[in-house]
Amino acid sequence: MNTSDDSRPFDLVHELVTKQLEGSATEADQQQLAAAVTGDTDVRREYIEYMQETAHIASRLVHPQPTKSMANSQVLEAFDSADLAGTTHQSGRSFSPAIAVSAVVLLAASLAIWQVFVGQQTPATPTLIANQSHVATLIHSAGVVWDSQHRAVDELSRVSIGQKLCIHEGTLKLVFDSGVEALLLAPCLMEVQDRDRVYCTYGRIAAKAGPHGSGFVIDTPVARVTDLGTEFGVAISDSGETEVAVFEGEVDVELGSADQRRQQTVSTKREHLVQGQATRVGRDGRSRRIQSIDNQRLPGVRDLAPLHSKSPVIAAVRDNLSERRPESRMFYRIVHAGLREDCKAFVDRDHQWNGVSEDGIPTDLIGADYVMPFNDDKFADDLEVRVTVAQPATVYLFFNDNIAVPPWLADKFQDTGIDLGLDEAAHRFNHSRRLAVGPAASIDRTFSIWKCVVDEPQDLVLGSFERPDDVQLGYNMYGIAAVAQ
Amino acid sequence: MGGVPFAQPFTPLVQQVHAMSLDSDHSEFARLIAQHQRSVQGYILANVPSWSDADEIWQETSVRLWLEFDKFEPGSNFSAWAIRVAHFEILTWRKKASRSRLIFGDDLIECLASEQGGFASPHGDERLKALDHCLEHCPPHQRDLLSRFYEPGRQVEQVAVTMKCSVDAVYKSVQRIRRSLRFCIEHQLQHAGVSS
Repeated sequence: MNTSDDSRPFDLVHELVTKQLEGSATEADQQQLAAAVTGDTDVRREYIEYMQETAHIASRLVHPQPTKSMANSQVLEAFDSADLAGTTHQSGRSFSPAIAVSAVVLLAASLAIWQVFVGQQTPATPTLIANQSHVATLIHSAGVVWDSQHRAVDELSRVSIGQKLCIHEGTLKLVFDSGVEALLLAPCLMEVQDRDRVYCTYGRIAAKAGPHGSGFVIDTPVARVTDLGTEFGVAISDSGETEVAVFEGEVDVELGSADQRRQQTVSTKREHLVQGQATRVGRDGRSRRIQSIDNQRLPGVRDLAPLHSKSPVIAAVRDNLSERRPESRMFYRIVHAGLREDCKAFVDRDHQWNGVSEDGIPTDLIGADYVMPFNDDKFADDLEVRVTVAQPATVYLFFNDNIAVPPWLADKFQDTGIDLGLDEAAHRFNHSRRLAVGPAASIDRTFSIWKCVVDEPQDLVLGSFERPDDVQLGYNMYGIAAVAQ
Repeated sequence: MGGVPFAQPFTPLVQQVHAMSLDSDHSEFARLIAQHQRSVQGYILANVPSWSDADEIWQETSVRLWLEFDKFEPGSNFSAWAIRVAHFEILTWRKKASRSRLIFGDDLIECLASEQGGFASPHGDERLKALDHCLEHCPPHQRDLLSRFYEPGRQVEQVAVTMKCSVDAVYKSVQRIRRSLRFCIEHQLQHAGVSS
């Protein structure tokens, strides 16, 4: 066993890392660990070895856990899933448990691949044989329950043309060889039909195309969605009804089933959606606007994890624009537990919320539910925005300082005297804008934070505002956030 | 935990990939990730000692590795390359996470970046193999305690209730087991003629 002198760095590192991993470390603990690692080569070496061992021990010993999505209830509500009877098996993973199960499978897979490659006698698992029909790789799965009638796929396995992926629970992340990343959320049945085309019978898919991924197609029972260089989400209900939302870039949506499109029985055959727009295509091949989309139900491929797992505060958002502009396809995006530095402020711009000073966004607001409205809302007269608040909460409104305060705001809300910054990205009115990272950097607009206490679940009605006198200087739509009481 | 197979380094295999199809390259790439992901995850955890944050960064790193797999030169040090990719994902994550939570300062991140070779070294691989051997010979109740203690989101109080002991006893037991595993690793390496 180590002598007491030898074990001193070990004990120090063990104690401080344990606090870090269980989340009880104070700022002083963290500084002590950082100072010891950077200032003492023995401690540094100890730290590196200790952390390698810790990751390894967790990967070997910690059992995988199925992921309990906060959106489960919404998923069930949205898809009213068909009979899921049948034997299923778990393959849930996260980083620490990820390797625990997958290591065995993956290492076995490695050996099988090795056998194929070096031409050994033992036949390999069919899925591992090099095959030109392989077009994608399953790179991550979390909390997955596979359908017993379809083949389960292990992490880091290749996926072929014609292969169906069917999951009852959990999420899968695929990377297509064309550079498209796809996130599948259960319940989901998807068939890979070509290197850049999939058919989804039901479920939710978020896709993000890289520079060479444009042209990726998701076929559904009632529509064909073609990516034109973008990030978008598609949700297909059991009946085939299809929702499409564009988070970045643009997509083409051909309306109707393959048969309907061939027979041209629908009056409007195609919709072109850009960032911030969404549409719902019914079984009749007709489309209509979706008012709000929840990021838990339809997340982006690269969305950051929520900052906490408390119940959602903002349940829905809708406005009165559809009555006047039925052709509008703009949607409000609800982001649960997502307000933080550099988070996107609007669905139709890339502007970001930031703290105006080095202190950052006010602590009370970090992790708040917030709404990404469309910035073009600022042009709408007589706008009425209804925010459904699901529980007692403090609702915050971020209001551009160069706009006259409208009566509805002054009546319902109270100015906190605290400001929030908006870092604007390049947009059609100002191409020279550039985003920066972190608080107090490149703040282009200052917003006052107003607040209103809501004692019980209700619809909070917000309104429109007058354009500022100095309209040439620019102005923005207000932001909305809420924190449970 | 008997019979867990270990990944074996087989450099000649990598060289054969040159002549293979794109799909074979992908399969080989999957093998390399499987073989080296523990080193990469160790590096991430050292920079971001939080299970959930490290998991988030690992997922981003994994995607990035696949998207940039054609930039990897077969035959070069995969582990070192993957750790460099992970490093940039850590920097990206830090920019987004700053002010939202407690994170290490730039000094430590730069210090660990200069030590990337230590995470990607053959010696590190030997240590983890030795650790596997030690875990196999670890008494079941000790493995059980470690598995509960390192389960993400599990509170030490819950572990103490399950194990029918005090919180202090859990901490002390874990420290004792980790020390004995360390001793076992050193012993294994000396026995195999690998000195640190």
